[in-house]
Amino acid sequence: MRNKIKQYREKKGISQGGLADLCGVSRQTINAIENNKYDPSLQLAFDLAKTLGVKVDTLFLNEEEI
Amino acid sequence: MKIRTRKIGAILIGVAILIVVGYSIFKIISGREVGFQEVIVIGTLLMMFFSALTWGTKEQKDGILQEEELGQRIIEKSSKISYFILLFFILAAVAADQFINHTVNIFLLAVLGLAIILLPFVEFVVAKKYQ
Repeated sequence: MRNKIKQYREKKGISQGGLADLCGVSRQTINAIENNKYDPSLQLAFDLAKTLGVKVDTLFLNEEEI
Repeated sequence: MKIRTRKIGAILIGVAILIVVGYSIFKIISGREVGFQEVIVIGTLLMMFFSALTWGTKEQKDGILQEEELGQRIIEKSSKISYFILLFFILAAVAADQFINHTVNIFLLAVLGLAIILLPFVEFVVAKKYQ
Protein backbone atom coordinates (compact mmCIF):
# COMPACT_ATOMS: atom_id res chain seq x y z
CA MET A 1 0.00 0.00 0.00
CA ARG A 2 1.29 3.47 -0.93
CA ASN A 3 0.72 6.63 1.09
CA LYS A 4 0.98 10.39 0.94
CA ILE A 5 2.05 10.93 4.54
CA LYS A 6 5.29 12.73 3.67
CA GLN A 7 3.44 15.11 1.34
CA TYR A 8 0.78 16.05 3.94
CA ARG A 9 3.27 16.09 6.80
CA GLU A 10 5.53 18.55 4.99
CA LYS A 11 2.50 20.65 4.01
CA LYS A 12 1.69 20.93 7.72
CA GLY A 13 5.31 21.64 8.60
CA ILE A 14 5.63 18.70 10.98
CA SER A 15 8.80 16.64 11.29
CA GLN A 16 8.78 12.83 11.37
CA GLY A 17 9.57 13.00 15.09
CA GLY A 18 6.76 15.49 15.69
CA LEU A 19 4.21 13.33 13.88
CA ALA A 20 5.50 10.29 15.76
CA ASP A 21 4.97 12.05 19.10
CA LEU A 22 1.46 13.11 18.13
CA CYS A 23 0.55 9.55 17.15
CA GLY A 24 2.33 7.82 20.03
CA VAL A 25 4.86 5.85 17.96
CA SER A 26 8.58 6.14 17.27
CA ARG A 27 10.11 8.28 14.50
CA GLN A 28 11.37 5.05 12.93
CA THR A 29 7.79 3.82 12.53
CA ILE A 30 6.79 6.98 10.64
CA ASN A 31 9.91 6.66 8.49
CA ALA A 32 9.13 2.99 7.70
CA ILE A 33 5.53 3.88 6.76
CA GLU A 34 6.58 6.82 4.57
CA ASN A 35 9.08 4.63 2.72
CA ASN A 36 6.41 1.94 2.20
CA LYS A 37 8.37 -0.59 4.25
CA TYR A 38 5.53 -1.08 6.72
CA ASP A 39 1.75 -0.90 6.45
CA PRO A 40 0.31 0.54 9.68
CA SER A 41 -2.60 -0.93 11.60
CA LEU A 42 -6.07 0.47 11.03
CA GLN A 43 -5.87 2.35 14.35
CA LEU A 44 -2.56 4.02 13.47
CA ALA A 45 -3.80 4.82 9.94
CA PHE A 46 -6.79 6.65 11.48
CA ASP A 47 -4.53 8.42 13.99
CA LEU A 48 -2.24 9.59 11.19
CA ALA A 49 -5.14 10.77 9.06
CA LYS A 50 -6.70 12.63 12.01
CA THR A 51 -3.40 14.27 12.94
CA LEU A 52 -2.76 15.38 9.34
CA GLY A 53 -6.36 16.53 8.91
CA VAL A 54 -7.26 14.29 6.00
CA LYS A 55 -9.35 11.19 5.39
CA VAL A 56 -7.75 7.75 5.58
CA ASP A 57 -8.53 7.01 1.92
CA THR A 58 -6.84 10.28 0.92
CA LEU A 59 -3.71 9.41 2.86
CA PHE A 60 -3.44 5.76 1.83
CA LEU A 61 -3.68 4.51 -1.71
CA ASN A 62 -4.32 1.00 -2.91
CA GLU A 63 -1.70 -0.27 -5.39
CA GLU A 64 -4.46 -0.42 -8.04
CA GLU A 65 -5.25 3.28 -7.53
CA ILE A 66 -1.74 4.40 -8.47
CA MET B 1 27.77 15.11 21.01
CA LYS B 2 25.10 13.42 23.05
CA ILE B 3 25.91 9.77 23.70
CA ARG B 4 22.74 7.78 24.24
CA THR B 5 22.25 5.41 27.18
CA ARG B 6 21.49 2.59 24.73
CA LYS B 7 24.89 2.98 23.07
CA ILE B 8 26.69 3.11 26.43
CA GLY B 9 24.82 -0.02 27.51
CA ALA B 10 25.75 -1.84 24.30
CA ILE B 11 29.42 -0.86 24.69
CA LEU B 12 29.50 -2.03 28.33
CA ILE B 13 27.86 -5.35 27.46
CA GLY B 14 30.26 -5.73 24.49
CA VAL B 15 33.22 -5.27 26.84
CA ALA B 16 31.73 -7.81 29.27
CA ILE B 17 31.34 -10.30 26.38
CA LEU B 18 34.99 -9.84 25.39
CA ILE B 19 36.10 -10.42 29.00
CA VAL B 20 34.00 -13.59 29.42
CA VAL B 21 35.00 -14.97 25.99
CA GLY B 22 38.64 -14.17 26.74
CA TYR B 23 38.44 -15.90 30.12
CA SER B 24 36.75 -18.95 28.53
CA ILE B 25 39.52 -19.18 25.90
CA PHE B 26 42.10 -18.93 28.72
CA LYS B 27 40.33 -21.78 30.55
CA ILE B 28 40.38 -23.96 27.40
CA ILE B 29 44.08 -23.26 26.81
CA SER B 30 44.97 -24.03 30.44
CA GLY B 31 43.14 -27.37 30.16
CA ARG B 32 40.19 -26.55 32.40
CA GLU B 33 36.65 -27.53 31.57
CA VAL B 34 34.34 -25.04 29.85
CA GLY B 35 30.67 -25.83 29.99
CA PHE B 36 27.18 -24.86 31.09
CA GLN B 37 28.15 -21.73 33.04
CA GLU B 38 30.12 -20.16 30.17
CA VAL B 39 27.41 -20.95 27.60
CA ILE B 40 24.70 -19.40 29.79
CA VAL B 41 26.73 -16.28 30.66
CA ILE B 42 27.91 -15.63 27.07
CA GLY B 43 24.43 -16.40 25.72
CA THR B 44 22.74 -14.02 28.17
CA LEU B 45 25.26 -11.24 27.48
CA LEU B 46 24.82 -11.63 23.70
CA MET B 47 21.05 -11.55 24.15
CA MET B 48 21.35 -8.28 26.13
CA PHE B 49 23.81 -6.86 23.57
CA PHE B 50 21.54 -7.41 20.57
CA SER B 51 18.53 -6.24 22.55
CA ALA B 52 20.34 -3.01 23.44
CA LEU B 53 21.29 -2.50 19.78
CA THR B 54 17.76 -3.13 18.50
CA TRP B 55 15.33 -1.47 20.89
CA GLY B 56 14.95 2.13 21.87
CA THR B 57 13.40 3.66 24.96
CA LYS B 58 10.40 5.95 25.20
CA GLU B 59 12.27 8.49 27.33
CA GLN B 60 15.30 8.74 25.04
CA LYS B 61 13.37 8.41 21.74
CA ASP B 62 16.32 6.56 20.27
CA GLY B 63 14.79 3.72 18.29
CA ILE B 64 11.87 1.42 17.66
CA LEU B 65 9.98 0.57 20.85
CA GLN B 66 9.16 -3.02 21.72
CA GLU B 67 5.62 -2.14 22.76
CA GLU B 68 4.60 -0.16 19.66
CA GLU B 69 3.04 -1.90 16.65
CA LEU B 70 6.16 -1.92 14.46
CA GLY B 71 8.06 -3.41 17.40
CA GLN B 72 5.40 -6.11 17.77
CA ARG B 73 5.61 -6.85 14.03
CA ILE B 74 9.41 -7.16 14.27
CA ILE B 75 9.07 -9.53 17.24
CA GLU B 76 6.50 -11.71 15.43
CA LYS B 77 8.56 -11.92 12.24
CA SER B 78 11.86 -12.62 13.98
CA SER B 79 10.22 -15.22 16.25
CA LYS B 80 9.16 -17.26 13.24
CA ILE B 81 12.53 -16.92 11.51
CA SER B 82 14.27 -17.91 14.78
CA TYR B 83 12.04 -20.97 15.09
CA PHE B 84 13.07 -22.28 11.67
CA ILE B 85 16.76 -21.55 12.30
CA LEU B 86 16.56 -23.39 15.64
CA LEU B 87 14.74 -26.30 13.98
CA PHE B 88 17.53 -26.53 11.41
CA PHE B 89 20.21 -26.48 14.15
CA ILE B 90 18.47 -29.24 16.15
CA LEU B 91 18.23 -31.33 12.96
CA ALA B 92 21.92 -30.66 12.27
CA ALA B 93 22.80 -31.63 15.88
CA VAL B 94 20.93 -34.95 15.58
CA ALA B 95 22.63 -35.65 12.23
CA ALA B 96 26.07 -34.65 13.58
CA ASP B 97 25.62 -36.88 16.64
CA GLN B 98 24.75 -39.82 14.42
CA PHE B 99 27.61 -39.10 12.00
CA ILE B 100 30.33 -38.52 14.63
CA ASN B 101 29.28 -40.74 17.57
CA HIS B 102 27.20 -43.27 15.59
CA THR B 103 24.47 -42.87 18.21
CA VAL B 104 21.16 -41.09 18.42
CA ASN B 105 20.68 -38.89 21.48
CA ILE B 106 17.14 -39.70 22.55
CA PHE B 107 16.61 -36.34 24.28
CA LEU B 108 17.81 -34.44 21.23
CA LEU B 109 15.55 -36.57 19.03
CA ALA B 110 12.61 -35.87 21.35
CA VAL B 111 13.33 -32.13 21.17
CA LEU B 112 13.45 -32.39 17.34
CA GLY B 113 10.10 -34.17 17.27
CA LEU B 114 8.61 -31.60 19.63
CA ALA B 115 10.06 -28.73 17.57
CA ILE B 116 8.51 -30.11 14.38
CA ILE B 117 4.99 -30.27 15.81
CA LEU B 118 5.25 -27.16 18.00
CA LEU B 119 4.51 -24.48 15.36
CA PRO B 120 1.48 -26.17 13.73
CA PHE B 121 0.10 -27.03 17.18
CA VAL B 122 0.46 -23.47 18.49
CA GLU B 123 -1.03 -22.15 15.22
CA PHE B 124 -3.98 -24.49 15.75
CA VAL B 125 -4.51 -23.21 19.31
CA VAL B 126 -4.14 -19.54 18.32
CA ALA B 127 -6.45 -19.98 15.29
CA LYS B 128 -9.17 -21.27 17.65
CA LYS B 129 -9.22 -17.82 19.24
CA TYR B 130 -10.39 -16.26 15.97
CA GLN B 131 -13.02 -18.85 15.04
